[in-house]
Amino acid sequence: MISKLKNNISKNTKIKYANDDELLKIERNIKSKLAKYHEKCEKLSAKYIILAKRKQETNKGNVKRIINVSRQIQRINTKIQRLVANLNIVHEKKFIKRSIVYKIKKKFSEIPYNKQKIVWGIIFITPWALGFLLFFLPPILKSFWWSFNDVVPSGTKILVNFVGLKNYIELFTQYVIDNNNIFNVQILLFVQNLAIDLPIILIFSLFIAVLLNTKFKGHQIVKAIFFIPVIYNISIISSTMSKGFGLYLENNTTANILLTTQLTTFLMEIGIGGSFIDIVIGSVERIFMIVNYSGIQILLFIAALQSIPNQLYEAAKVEGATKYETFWKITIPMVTPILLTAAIYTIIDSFARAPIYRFLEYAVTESRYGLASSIAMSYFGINLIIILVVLGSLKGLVFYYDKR
Amino acid sequence: MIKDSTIKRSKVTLSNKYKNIYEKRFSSPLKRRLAVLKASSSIVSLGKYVILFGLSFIILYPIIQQLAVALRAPEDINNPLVLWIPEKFSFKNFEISMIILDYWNAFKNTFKMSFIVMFLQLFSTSLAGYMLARLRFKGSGIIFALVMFTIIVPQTTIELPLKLSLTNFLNTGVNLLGKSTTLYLFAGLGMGLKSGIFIYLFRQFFRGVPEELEEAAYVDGASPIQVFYKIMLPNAKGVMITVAILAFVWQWNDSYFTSVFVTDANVTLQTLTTKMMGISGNIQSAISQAGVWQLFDQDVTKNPLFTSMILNTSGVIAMLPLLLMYVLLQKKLFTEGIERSGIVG
Repeated sequence: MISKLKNNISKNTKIKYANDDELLKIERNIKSKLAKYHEKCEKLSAKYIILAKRKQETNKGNVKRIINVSRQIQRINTKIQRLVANLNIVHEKKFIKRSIVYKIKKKFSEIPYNKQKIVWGIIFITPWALGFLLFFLPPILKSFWWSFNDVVPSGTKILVNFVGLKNYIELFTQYVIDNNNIFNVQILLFVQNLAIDLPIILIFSLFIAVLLNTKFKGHQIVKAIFFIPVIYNISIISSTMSKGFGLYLENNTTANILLTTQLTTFLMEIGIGGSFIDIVIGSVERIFMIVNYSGIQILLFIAALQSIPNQLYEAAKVEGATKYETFWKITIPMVTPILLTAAIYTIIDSFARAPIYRFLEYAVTESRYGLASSIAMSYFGINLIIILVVLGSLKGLVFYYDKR
Repeated sequence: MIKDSTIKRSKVTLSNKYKNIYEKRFSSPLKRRLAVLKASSSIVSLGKYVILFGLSFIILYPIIQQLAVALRAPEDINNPLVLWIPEKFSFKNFEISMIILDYWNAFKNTFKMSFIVMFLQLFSTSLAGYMLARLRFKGSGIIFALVMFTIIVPQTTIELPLKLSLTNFLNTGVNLLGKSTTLYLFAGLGMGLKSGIFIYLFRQFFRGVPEELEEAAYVDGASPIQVFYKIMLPNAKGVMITVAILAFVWQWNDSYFTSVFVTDANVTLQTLTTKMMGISGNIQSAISQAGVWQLFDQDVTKNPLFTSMILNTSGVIAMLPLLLMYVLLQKKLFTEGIERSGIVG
């Protein structure tokens, strides 16, 4: 093993001695440098003597300055020593030629650690920064600018014509496609659905994550099953479920219909009515959708639950807390940071499925790029507003275990 | 003595039995409380089983349904008695769908794209995430805000101008639109499918690694890059596996991103998902193009359920490789991936 390593080292660092011409050059170089340093050193030591004398005699002058000067002298002395050693090597004709990479590496390792970190930070972020500057920033600025313009493609060029807020006004007052698809209404419906779904998805996924986090018989299999919606393509499923064979099977099994009617009558009988029934029935009917859209959130919550330090639970147990209390006083506060993440993810994810693509497509096929951009921008604006509202309302809840 | 006890045991009547139970379980307040706790915990665990397995059924329902439909012989369509379990099992549907999807070609394209994109995403997002967590400098807060911004902005917002700028990239006359290189470029430069979320996950993970580890390495003379690949990366196995799987799966299932920026995906570079989306609109003509109408009787092909069945089977075989991979890898995913990912808010 060790012999192998040694072999490797000797292979990698083939020693290259400099030839005579180069040696002459190097010698001249070193000598000129030495002369320079000697001169500097003399100057500094003269200065040092003056300062030290003044300090001794009149007790005036800054001590720090004197120390500084002596330090500079020391530094130059070490440099001179190094150069002299180099000169000896040159005289013995054993000067080793180093590659540029080696020199750069050596120079770099002399930089203090904190500054090295900054350099590596810049190197690490360059791919992302390049992508951002090439593929993200220009398009979004262009999209923003186009939304205030009439943009018409003519041949290979694009005609841009400033019209102010006209696109937005048209969009929110009178834009209708496919005869009865109104932008306003669609957006409103979407936001309404989101307002209902968001808390349901969050609570549901937290609940499931807590259940899955305990060990019971078959928990591996159940965990695996709950992650399937992330793997499985929802759009393919839902298109085949709602049409053709799916419909045929559903009509012949009738289990779903029975459940919802029974639930409605039950709720009516115990005296709950109105919009509450609608929400409950809606979520029962959407249980399939909710289960399928909360895969990532469950995953996030499981990760968060796993990272809660066990000693908290042990301490609570010693103090005599029940499981119910530990759940509300330890588990819930510890997962609140992830709650925020999961909420934002849910919003973004549901926006990716919003029924707004149709409007965009339609505007593009009409080659009204300005209107299309204004649709895209208002879409983004609504997204941002909802996220800000959710962030604002959840911020008070969030608890950070170690504030960093 | 022994005799006495046997006599006693034989004399135990029914009421005595209850008395014994009472004395054993409910005689003192502590015992009562313990009994209640035991009963409630068993009820809770029963409820847990009911909920989890019920929901598992809801998740598995479409897959069961799709498999049930896919596995039946085409002749069974007209048989009203066959609803879930087919009378004759056959793989005929699979054969037809494979012809329609041009399966092996599409599979090869999909796998290649997903695999390369996965590695590029891992590379760019892990670097960016580590920088945001550990190699901070003045203004890195702004960079993080910009990363969050890229997550929030929907792809549709920038789709149109991006497409136009890609057709004549940086005024050099190079057309980047259409080839899979574009996708790799996006992924490698951290602008791929949901890259922002991956950066966020990596950042959260690296923030959770104790700072003492890095300090110890620094004292031993390690440079920042050595700290990264000798200490941080081996520890980041969990989050790496999670991100790799998500990147792979999302690329596999993606039809929007791929079909918009890799326009070849609609013609020559078909992936399973884009092909699936393509045929779902006009399954009738796709089947007739594949030339399988003639293989069946008219009463089979006239049934509108026939096309639906073929579409269903296509969906199954488009997802099947992913599901198989998942079944093989799921244990690793959970024990080494998600639960060890250490993602903290």
